[in-house]
Amino acid sequence: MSKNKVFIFIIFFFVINNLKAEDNLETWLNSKEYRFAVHMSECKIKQIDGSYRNCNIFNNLKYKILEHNFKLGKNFKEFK
Amino acid sequence: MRIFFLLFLFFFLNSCLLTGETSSLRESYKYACLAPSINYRSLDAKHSTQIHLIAWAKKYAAQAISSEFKIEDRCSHTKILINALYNQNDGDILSWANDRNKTSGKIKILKTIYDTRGNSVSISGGFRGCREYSSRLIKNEEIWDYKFLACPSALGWGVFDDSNGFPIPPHLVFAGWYFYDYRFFK
Repeated sequence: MSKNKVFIFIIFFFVINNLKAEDNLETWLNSKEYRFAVHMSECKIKQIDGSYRNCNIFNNLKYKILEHNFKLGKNFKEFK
Repeated sequence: MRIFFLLFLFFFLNSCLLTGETSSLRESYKYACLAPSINYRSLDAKHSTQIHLIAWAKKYAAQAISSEFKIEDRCSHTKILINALYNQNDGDILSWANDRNKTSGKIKILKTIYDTRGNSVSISGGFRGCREYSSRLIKNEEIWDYKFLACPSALGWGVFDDSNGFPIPPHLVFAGWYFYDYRFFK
């Protein structure tokens, strides 16, 4: 019987903690910055040579030919 | 009761020792609140697993006894970091404050590396597109300052090597950036 009580207490503790965290994070989870961060963590662009690089526009500064296309904030503004 | 204790111990050791990740870092991953400065101790401990086991053990112990920022603070700091790195000009400062937790944070974009011309020899073409920024965190009037280099891709061979000539891994890869702790550049 006491084992069950301990088990229920542990589950209750984790559920309450998780709900509390979710409640405090609502602003963040509904923000454009959150969706953008998740998107940019996964976004990949295939290159001509078959390799992949991420979608961060600052990558354009690494390639001189693309440097004139660089515009600060473009990634974020275009993201819906 | 002993069984529960052993189970708890097993899960604790299994989750921390094998992955090198602390529970607060796993929480940060879950909600994508991964600004490296506010997760510094956890990330530093994890980073050390890739370099030296004893260094990891020391750093893991250090973070275990120190108080962490709450998850909502970690997310607030991540929010201004994303905004700063993608949208702000050099010299701009963004900040947040949480009166309830008596915490606050700031991020200042210091420099964007647009070109190799005019830079020192150590700043090679591999750094182009990287952004230097400083991060200040305050909790109960205690202040922590950090400096990071965020790059759009990994710094490779010959750019950022350890004493054995191997590239040092970034502290974190997140939201399209590779984050390097600036103290390694000294």
